[in-house]
Amino acid sequence: MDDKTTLPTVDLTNAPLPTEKTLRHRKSLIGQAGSFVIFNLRMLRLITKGKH
Amino acid sequence: MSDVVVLGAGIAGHTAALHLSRKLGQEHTVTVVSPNSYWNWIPSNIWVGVGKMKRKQVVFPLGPIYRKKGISFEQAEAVAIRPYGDAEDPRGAVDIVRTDPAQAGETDRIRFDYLINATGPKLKFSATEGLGPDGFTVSVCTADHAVEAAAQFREVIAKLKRGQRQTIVVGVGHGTCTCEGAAFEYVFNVDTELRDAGVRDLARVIYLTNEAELGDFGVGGMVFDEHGYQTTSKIWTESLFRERGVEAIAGAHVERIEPNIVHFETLDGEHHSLEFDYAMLLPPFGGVDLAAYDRDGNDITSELFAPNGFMKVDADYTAKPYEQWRAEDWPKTYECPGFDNIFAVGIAFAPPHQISRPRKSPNGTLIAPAPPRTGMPSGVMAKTAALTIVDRIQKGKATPARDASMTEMGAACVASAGTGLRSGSAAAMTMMPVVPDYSKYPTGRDTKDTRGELGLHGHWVKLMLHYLFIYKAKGLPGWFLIPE
Repeated sequence: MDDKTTLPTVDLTNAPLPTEKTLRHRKSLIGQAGSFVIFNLRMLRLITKGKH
Repeated sequence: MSDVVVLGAGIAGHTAALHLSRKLGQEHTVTVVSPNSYWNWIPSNIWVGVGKMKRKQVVFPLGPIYRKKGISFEQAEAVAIRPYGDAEDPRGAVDIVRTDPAQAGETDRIRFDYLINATGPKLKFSATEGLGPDGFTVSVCTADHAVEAAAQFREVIAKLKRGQRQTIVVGVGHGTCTCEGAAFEYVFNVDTELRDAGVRDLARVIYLTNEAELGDFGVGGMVFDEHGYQTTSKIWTESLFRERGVEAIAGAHVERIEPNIVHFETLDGEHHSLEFDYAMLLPPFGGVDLAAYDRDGNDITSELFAPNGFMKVDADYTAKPYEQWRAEDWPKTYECPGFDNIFAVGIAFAPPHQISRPRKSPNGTLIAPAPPRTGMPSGVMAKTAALTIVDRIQKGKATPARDASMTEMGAACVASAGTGLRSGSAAAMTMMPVVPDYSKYPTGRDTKDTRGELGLHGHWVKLMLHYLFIYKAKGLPGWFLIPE
């Protein structure tokens, strides 16, 4: 049985962590409302641009 | 008059049937054959699997919709295709075995002029000993599986609340699985539920995947343009795992599962064993068990189907190394070679090869995510095949087929990372095209339309798609205006 030391887990120690500003933006209702609109426009562009 | 038969009533089959009934006059028939009498919005099963949604919120009965739309519905399993018909009738035919309780086991033969095979996957839990609801792990592949997963997950939370440490393993149960995105969603929804229950510190959460690296998602990963630099879905995904404290094991092939122990091999050829208290591991997919016969009853299954049970279409199936894979290998029309009236869409068509680079361990074990062809691409293919059939019925059999290659089609993938209108989160990704085309784009995809974002808005998008697609699938007014 593997234990914590022998289990081949991905080394995440160098993975970038989000800054406080990024974390705040991810929860900001106003900022996220804007991102919501932009993401929907992006989906529409995908649909009109590609084979759909 | 033409008879069109659609095998399967999932996202692909149901979409095809709705478009066929909308476009064809009443002199034509559209018949759907499906062993299940309910439609399931599968992307929301992960929410059922953590107890955030009820089964009834992700399924609805097909019968009333089909009656309203003038579509015939046979609750049955298709077991054989006879593209040349039989001794009595040269028209194509499908052999079915009824599954509705009133007529269970009865057989019938349905004639067709056009056929769409949208049977979806066979969930091959049997590929790994001990995998699945009949073994020692749970699944969220069906709504019923997800209900069972939620019940067992509640027990895990109860144990954690009593102070018992728990190890939770989420991922895929074989080296050739697909749908890593669903496992990704489930692990972060589990993480969120544990946090909300105030027991996260007592749980060890491990993501076990066949992806060679995180962020591959079975599509070979993505390259994003961000603030003037190119970054990858690997970095982006690893960041989320680190932020949430979820451990990850990549490049794994699950060999067998015993009660509370998963045994797996990794790409370096090493074998490992991991104890768990709760495991949600997805199965590999195969084609459903469909045979094919010619008019004299001779078996021609290998002409229509690849060895894995998926139907051959207009793809280039020549075996070649990864370096020689080209966008042109992928099918455009989903027409079965030699039959201009038979199509296979969604998971039912045989892809020419993987999208991610296939890898083998030194022991020869194939550890390679299978290409995803669910959701948005699945609906687009279904609509394309349906409109080709409509064209051929209305304008003549020689009308060229419409095309929608996955190398020219974009897709949005919204992977939930927790629910809540104010506190939810999701990884919202768009990619264009789904299958990379390195002859057109240096990174394989158009970086203007290949993006990844994380935040509350992703949860709103996922929730919006849940309601929009259920509205569309119910065929409510204006349903066809909602794109696939």
